[in-house]
Amino acid sequence: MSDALKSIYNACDPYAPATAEFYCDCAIARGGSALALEFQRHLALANDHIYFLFSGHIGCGKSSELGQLKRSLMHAAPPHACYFPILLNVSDYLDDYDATPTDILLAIVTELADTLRTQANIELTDTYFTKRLNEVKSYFLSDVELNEGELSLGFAKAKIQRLKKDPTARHQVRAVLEPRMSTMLEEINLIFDEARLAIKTRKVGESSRACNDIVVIVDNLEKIRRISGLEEGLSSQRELFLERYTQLASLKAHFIYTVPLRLVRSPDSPQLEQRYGPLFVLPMIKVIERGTRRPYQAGIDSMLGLLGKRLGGLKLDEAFASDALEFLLTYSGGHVRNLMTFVQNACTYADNIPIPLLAAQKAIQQTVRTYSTAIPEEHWEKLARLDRSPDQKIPNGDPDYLVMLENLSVLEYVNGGGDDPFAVAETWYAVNPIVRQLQKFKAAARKLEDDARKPQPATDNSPDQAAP
Amino acid sequence: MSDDTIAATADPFSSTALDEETELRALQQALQFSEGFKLIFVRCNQPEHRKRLVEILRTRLPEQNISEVHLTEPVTHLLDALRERLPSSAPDALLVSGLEYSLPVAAEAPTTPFIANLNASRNSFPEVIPYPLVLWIPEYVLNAIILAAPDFFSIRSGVYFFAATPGETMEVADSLTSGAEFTLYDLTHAEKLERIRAIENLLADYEALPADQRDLYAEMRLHLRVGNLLAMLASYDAAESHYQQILTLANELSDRPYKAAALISIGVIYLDKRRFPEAEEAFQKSIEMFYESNNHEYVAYALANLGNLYAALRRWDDAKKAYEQSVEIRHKLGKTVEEGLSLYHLALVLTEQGQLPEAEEVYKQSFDIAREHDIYSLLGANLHGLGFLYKKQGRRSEADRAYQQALNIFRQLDNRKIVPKILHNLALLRIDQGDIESAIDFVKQAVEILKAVGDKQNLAKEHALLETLEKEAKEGHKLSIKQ
Repeated sequence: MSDALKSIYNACDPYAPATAEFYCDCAIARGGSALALEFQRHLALANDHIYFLFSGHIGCGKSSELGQLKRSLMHAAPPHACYFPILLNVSDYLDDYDATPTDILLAIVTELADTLRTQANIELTDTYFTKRLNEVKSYFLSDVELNEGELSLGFAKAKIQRLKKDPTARHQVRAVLEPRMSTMLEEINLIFDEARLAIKTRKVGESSRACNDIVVIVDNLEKIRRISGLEEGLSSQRELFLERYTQLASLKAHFIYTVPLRLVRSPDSPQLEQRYGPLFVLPMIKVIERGTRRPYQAGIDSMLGLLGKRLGGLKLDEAFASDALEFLLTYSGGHVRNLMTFVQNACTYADNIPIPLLAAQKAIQQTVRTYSTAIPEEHWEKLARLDRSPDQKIPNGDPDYLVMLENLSVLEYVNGGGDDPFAVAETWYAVNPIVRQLQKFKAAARKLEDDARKPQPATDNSPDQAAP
Repeated sequence: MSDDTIAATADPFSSTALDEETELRALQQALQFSEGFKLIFVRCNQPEHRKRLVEILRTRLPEQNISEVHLTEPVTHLLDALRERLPSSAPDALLVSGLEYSLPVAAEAPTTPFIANLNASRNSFPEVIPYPLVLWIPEYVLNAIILAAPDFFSIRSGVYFFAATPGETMEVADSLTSGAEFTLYDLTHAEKLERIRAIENLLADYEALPADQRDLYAEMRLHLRVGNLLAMLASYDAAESHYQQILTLANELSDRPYKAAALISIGVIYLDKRRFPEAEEAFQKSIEMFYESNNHEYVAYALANLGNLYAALRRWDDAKKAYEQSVEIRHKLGKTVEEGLSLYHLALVLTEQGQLPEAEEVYKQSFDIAREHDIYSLLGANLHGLGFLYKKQGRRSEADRAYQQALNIFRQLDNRKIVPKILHNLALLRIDQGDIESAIDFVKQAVEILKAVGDKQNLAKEHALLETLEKEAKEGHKLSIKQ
């Protein structure tokens, strides 16, 4: 067993978002500016609190970008002001298939109190939530814990997270809190006021200066699939981000919410923009040019940089044969997590470093096999259509394409934008490069081509035409 | 090895399975490399095959403490189920199998709570299982996870793919497709699901074989069997897609009998979907093809289906003629069980035409055949038909007995399509007898079953009947229930 292969295998874990050590700014190669920069620009221009929506493919690097945003806010160099970030991973609190806005508020206020206490040494003087918590604590605390006395907000995190796995307690807590939704909002805002004062007047946590305000980063909110009482999927997501907008946007701090790509690319997109302002979508790293499919060097360099950081002391050419590396990059489609998965797989098919082309090919074959049976039959023609389309756009709101975005058979890219003030960022889509190579895709593409060559009859005698 | 074979195995985009040794070595290496939680999928369709592979892994990794959890019942939450079954000290790897028990037929898999919970609990796996987790799953479970739990799937460290060898699959194929098609009716609901899963897995293995090793006849046989099972469970779209695949394969092989068989089956689906003209065309075409190839057994089969079509259109004379022809052919061929089935259908038509004594006679012939050959579903069907006939003749106590016997049989077979119908008929009979209370009881039982199977149309009907009956019971109004 090769130790080098083993260490590459474990360093390229698709599960773990990039830490500061592994983070790599790929903004130019993604065709836009980095989330942190963009968000800080919005902060600088804002007269009031902003509610910023952030989206992207599963595994495209959202959590890594949010981690980086958190670090930049805290350590901003002048002229940028420092902000105190609260990074809330809602998956720690919420059941994706049974959540309500009250659950989200409770998670926000709990994480806020916990972060202030553990990272800034600030104990809130809150009495409202402490009182509410003590009204409902019997639903999720053990008898021993109940005897321990009052449960204060700053120390409640681990206990409140239990609600995620306890539907009965969750429903009981909701029954108590939901009628008080508007009071809860007001009380949270009071807490924000108290916390803001504290962070403005002294240096807190790792920051070198006093902070200007609080930024709450709500990660994994896009994973909520069902709002209690509603249908799973888009209708729940609409309810949360559109119908409950006033609640999400009435909290007195800066917020960044992750929103599902499916909703962003649905016909509801204009409404989202109208309410929240411009949406920030993290595209793939562009490894090919639009239309020509020629390699895009800046993108390839970014992917190489990103991978290089994970290799520790090893150089890229020590770890991979050059044709193997090129193969893996090309077929990742610029999707970071895919690249990590492919590298891991390639390690298992190799005997030693440098990882040869054959091992890279076998690694990709895993994905070939999964896609060739998992893509629904009705998708092939649409995939071929997208591939042939001159503008590389997807029809607005077609639910099949939204599914394809979700399962990564279609990838989203951006051209232009970034720091060039005259460039307009334009979104385009490409069929996943692996899917393009599959027999079923090729057959569908051939069929489209044949159909395009067929003469079109002048009249239509179909039953639809005859129907009244 | 020819040049063609070399080219095929070297194609990185071929979906053909890699050879077992390559995959096994890679999986072994993944287990040796993994530090902390890693999610690894192994696609393996046959339980026997899985056992053999796990055995090899254990032999090759003697230094590793490998734990296994085999689920033998449905679970809704994988992580919670595993939490209860984890070994007391952390192993080097955990192999989990039996996830297929938690999923119904492939088409429904994406909507189950089991799949939903995988996505939702994604971030909790590493805390509970801080070592590699290897999920051994058949292809349809893997596909369901890819489509419906993309978040969970996206954190995988690998999907290793094992296809059974032709020898292994042939043996299983024979055991799954042997026996007359007819006996499938006597499988319980759960057994049918089980059988569908097994055949779909097997088909996937066949399709994954390299082109030169594929056995298209075996594939057609399996498609037909699984299509018929799906049709019995009213999963018509899924069934049709299997039949369409037979048509494609049969055209490729220029095989007329299979083509005709697929046509009949597609016709049956059209019939169920009430697309009558297309169904009639499919049946007529297949009759023609079977006559040409001198295959009278299948001519009779197609005629029986044509009879069903005419019966659905209430063209009783045409239906009677088709059934009589089918009875005659089956009788000549000595296909007694099938003859019994045609006789039963003929009796239904005769009842509709008001020829009650003749119908009773034909039911009894069919009943005797069913009893002689232990075909319970046919036995039950005849009893149900006789019950209906007796009721028409005002022979209420005989009708009641026949219905009850039919009900017992279909309950034992867990046939959720027919049981609510018998319950409905029993309720009507009790209304006739003025026993509203027990009528209510039968309708309620029917409602429960219809709810469970999601048959909204009939559920609405039963609800309406129940409402009228309950009103009657409460207020003593005269009932106006359509019989």
